[in-house]
Amino acid sequence: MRTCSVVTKIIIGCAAILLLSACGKAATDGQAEASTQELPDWSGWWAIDGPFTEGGLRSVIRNLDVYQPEARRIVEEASVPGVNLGGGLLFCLPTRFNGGVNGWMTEATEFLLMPNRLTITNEDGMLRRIPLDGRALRENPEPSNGGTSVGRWEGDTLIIETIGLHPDTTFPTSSRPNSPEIGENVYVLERIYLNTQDELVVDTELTAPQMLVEPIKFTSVYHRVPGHVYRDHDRCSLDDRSIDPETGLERFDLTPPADLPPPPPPPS
Amino acid sequence: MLYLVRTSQWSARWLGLFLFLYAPSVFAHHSYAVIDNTKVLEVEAIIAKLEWVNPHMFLWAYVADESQESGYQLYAFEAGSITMMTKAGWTRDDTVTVGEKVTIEYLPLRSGEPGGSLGQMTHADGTVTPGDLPAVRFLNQVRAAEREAGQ
Repeated sequence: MRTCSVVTKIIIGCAAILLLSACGKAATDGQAEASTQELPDWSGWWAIDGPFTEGGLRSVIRNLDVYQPEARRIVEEASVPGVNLGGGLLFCLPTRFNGGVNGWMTEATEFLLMPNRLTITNEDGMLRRIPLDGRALRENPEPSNGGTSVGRWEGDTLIIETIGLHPDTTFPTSSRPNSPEIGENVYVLERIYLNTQDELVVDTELTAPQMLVEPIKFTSVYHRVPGHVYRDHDRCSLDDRSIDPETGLERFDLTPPADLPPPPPPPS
Repeated sequence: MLYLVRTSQWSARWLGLFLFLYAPSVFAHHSYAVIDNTKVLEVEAIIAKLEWVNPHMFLWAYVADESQESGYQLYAFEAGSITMMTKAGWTRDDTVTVGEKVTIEYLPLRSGEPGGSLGQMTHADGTVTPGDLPAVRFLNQVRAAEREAGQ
């Protein structure tokens, strides 16, 4: 009787261990499965169409009434044909997010989506880290190049809130001289989703009270670029024949390269 | 003229969008203050070197000039960044070769010095390689105005 009791206990114990082990594996598999299944496919490189089209950023700010007076003055001053206002060295600042589009026509963009994190980066070196783990948006963060963001899912749409951008970041292209600065208290609300054409759509509402009369809304549409090869895009003027590194003024440096081959024999 | 642009599907898409909706002051890397974008000049040139660099690549070429001791004047033509010119169909190694004869249409320097912004380049086989997008736009504007004036 005693022997039977011990055997029974062993059997029950083994069964319990097996059950717990199976449950644990199932739970782990379920978690991994859910993590991958719930994420939409935003992989690969993307190029933007949105700024140019109706409702895109460039179409919205074509109406200069959106700007506060000082911002508008800067835009108009820089729009005079042939104007040489200098400031070209500003191109050498790190690439910043300014509440506009994620990557411009000069560079392709990646939206690197993980279960608890989205990283947006582009060929210009922009880097935005967006936690998706349910944390709250940090209050009054110090300014950073990518801003301070949090994201949350509403169905298949990712909602991103961003604050903490450098107030002297230029707009609509960051690190571009003779452009309005976004100013203090900027708040960016983005809604990102895949549409039925497999395009990545970013609906943005930009609040920048020192630059804009009122918040503006615009839509950026990205299409996939299969087979795209990464290349650095660099606006820095230090090696730019178009910008004088001493003054920041525009120029055209005609100093021949040191390794230029000699001219061919004189034409007959 | 046979007009076969050496370009990719992506570059064609960009080019079309850009030419349709471009606003110069906000898209160019700089304002082209030193360039006369109301005029297009054309030269027969021999490729000397392509500087494949950001933010602007430069194409150096020899142009026959009897006033020079060597028989040639060295010209410099500015184009766009590596990413932009790649979208326009350029490659570092295959778009031009040293010693190749091409016809270059460009927006000249206001200073009159030999060079300017590369509008487009026509190769010996008739294919055309576009320059940087702002230059292409200015070139097309000038050519359109010339056609209108000629009618």
